[in-house]
Amino acid sequence: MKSWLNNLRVVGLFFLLVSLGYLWTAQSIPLDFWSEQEPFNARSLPYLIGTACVIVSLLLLALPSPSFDWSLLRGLNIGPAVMMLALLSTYGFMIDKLGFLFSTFCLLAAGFFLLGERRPLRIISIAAGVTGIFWVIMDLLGIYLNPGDLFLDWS
Amino acid sequence: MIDGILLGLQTVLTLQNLGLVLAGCAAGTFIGMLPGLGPISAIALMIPVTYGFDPASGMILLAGVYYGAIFGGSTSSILINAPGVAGTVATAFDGYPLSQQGKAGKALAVAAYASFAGGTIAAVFLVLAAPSLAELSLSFQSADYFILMLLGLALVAAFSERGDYLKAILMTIVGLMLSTVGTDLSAGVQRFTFGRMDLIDGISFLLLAMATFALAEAFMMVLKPTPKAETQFPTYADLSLSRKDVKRIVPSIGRSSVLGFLVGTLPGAGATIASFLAYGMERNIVSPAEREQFGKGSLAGLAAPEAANNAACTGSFVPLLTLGIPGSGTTAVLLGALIAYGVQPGPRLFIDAPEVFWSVIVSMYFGNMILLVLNLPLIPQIARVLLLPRPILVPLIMFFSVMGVYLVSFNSFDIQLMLMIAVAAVVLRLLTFPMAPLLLGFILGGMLEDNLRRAITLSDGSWSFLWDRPLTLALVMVTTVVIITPFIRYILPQKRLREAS
Repeated sequence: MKSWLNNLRVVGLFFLLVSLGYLWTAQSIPLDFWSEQEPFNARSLPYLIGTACVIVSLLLLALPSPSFDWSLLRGLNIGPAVMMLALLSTYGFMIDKLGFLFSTFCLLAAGFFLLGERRPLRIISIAAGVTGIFWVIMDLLGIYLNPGDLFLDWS
Repeated sequence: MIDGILLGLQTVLTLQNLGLVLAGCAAGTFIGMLPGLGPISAIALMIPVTYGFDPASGMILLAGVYYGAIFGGSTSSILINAPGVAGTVATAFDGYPLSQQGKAGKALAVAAYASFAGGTIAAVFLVLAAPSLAELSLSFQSADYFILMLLGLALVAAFSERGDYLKAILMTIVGLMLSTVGTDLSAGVQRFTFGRMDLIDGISFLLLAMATFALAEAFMMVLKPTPKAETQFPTYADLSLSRKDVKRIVPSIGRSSVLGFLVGTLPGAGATIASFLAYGMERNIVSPAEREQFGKGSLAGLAAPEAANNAACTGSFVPLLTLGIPGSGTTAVLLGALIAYGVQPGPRLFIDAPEVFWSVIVSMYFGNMILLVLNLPLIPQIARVLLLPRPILVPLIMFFSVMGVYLVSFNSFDIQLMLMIAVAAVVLRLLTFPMAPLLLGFILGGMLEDNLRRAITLSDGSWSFLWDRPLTLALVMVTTVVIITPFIRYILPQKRLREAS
């Protein structure tokens, strides 16, 4: 069983489920009476694509797949990558609240530190420099960047 | 045609647009040089910058970025044996040995001259071929477009690596699926939005391109740090070539440019395949003595893929500009940009917006010239970007990718969506699923649906439009062959393998 379920088949299985879910959701695309009579309506293409996806996923499951070189996945730096992901996600939540300047500075400084830069002067100067220059360029282009609801409330 | 060229010259030869070609080439070289970041990322990163310009200027900038990225990719291939771009992998075969022999300057010069010549020859072909092809394609109907798009998607999968055929097909379909998210424009109903306001407009192509390329590539840099390559950076560019060198590379450049252009015009092929084919062809054509040198620092072996990849870049604009169908991931992103500017590419582009059509063509030529005259002597300085430490570089790339998307919508939901897509893209990349077909499927999805709807409605709900006209029938047959042949090639060796075991 273990040898049968290789990575390609896992992906095949995954996309089989995705395509079934897709087809199921496609059924509930709202159609008015007139669209339902039309030969091609908002559901038509999703049905075609979903069916194609089912077929390809089944092929991935059914056909003998070429062996996958697992050594490609060895020694991945998962820790820092996950932390960068969390950092960027936090940035996404914070940018409206804390404003562009503060959150960008934190994102960059924390990012540099997470990936191994340890010289504080370098971290702070590059993070501040990039944030400042970006802010000035956007300002010159007339693009408004939110200074942050939190700060706006204070002032 | 002369009028067209003059119109193009008139558009390009303004201070602003010349500046944009220059900026595009420089930015492209800079980004393309970073290992892992290719032209798709470079263009995606630069698109937000172009939103302030008119379509012609925007395209001029992006065409410059495209060339610059390919050029930058060859630079890192030659200097550190780490191709920034798949299209310049073949460049490293002979470029890196040359650089190890202390001839980095010469190698860079050959690469630049070959790129320039390849780009120039291809630009001439493009000028000759595009208008007539555009006129021909005016007779195409919705059914033909629908089939042509299917053909384009199938070709991209067919040209993928042998074992990856099904993976590429699957990614194309996923791209199509993603394109159906949002409001259906014909009936105005919401599809796959799950009640979220943020998804009513669908997923923006820039978000998808940025997430699956720039951001995913930055994450790959964190996951798989490449060991720092030891290399001799040229302190000054010694660009001189002896008469003998020139004699050796000229025929290779000529042959490879023609080959590159032809391969580039095929949807689905493109710079990578062109450069490998040119390298292979050159190896078979040259004298046995020269063949010995291949892989050890042959100038012909360096010139061939370089001429071919640039010629193919130009060639890939043919289907984009004349049919509105992108043949590669890179031109798909360019198509997305054009649509975002409000320009509908295709045969009508040539009539409706001739200034865009011609200025892109003319700016390609200027881009090539700028790369040769300005970038080449500056390479030792620009190459310092390779020395930028990863801990600094990676967060910056991530920041610019996120900002590029955020600045268009000012919706922080987009950042989260982008991260989700990037995570999926990284996992799929690790399992060697190609991402370019996904992007292509996504961008063609909307047009595919429009044309299919029109074709089916015109034929009263019957699928007979597929065989009613000889032209459509021929296209259907070609598409069927393209879909089935690689599939047979995919199963045959494995069946044999199973029987053997």
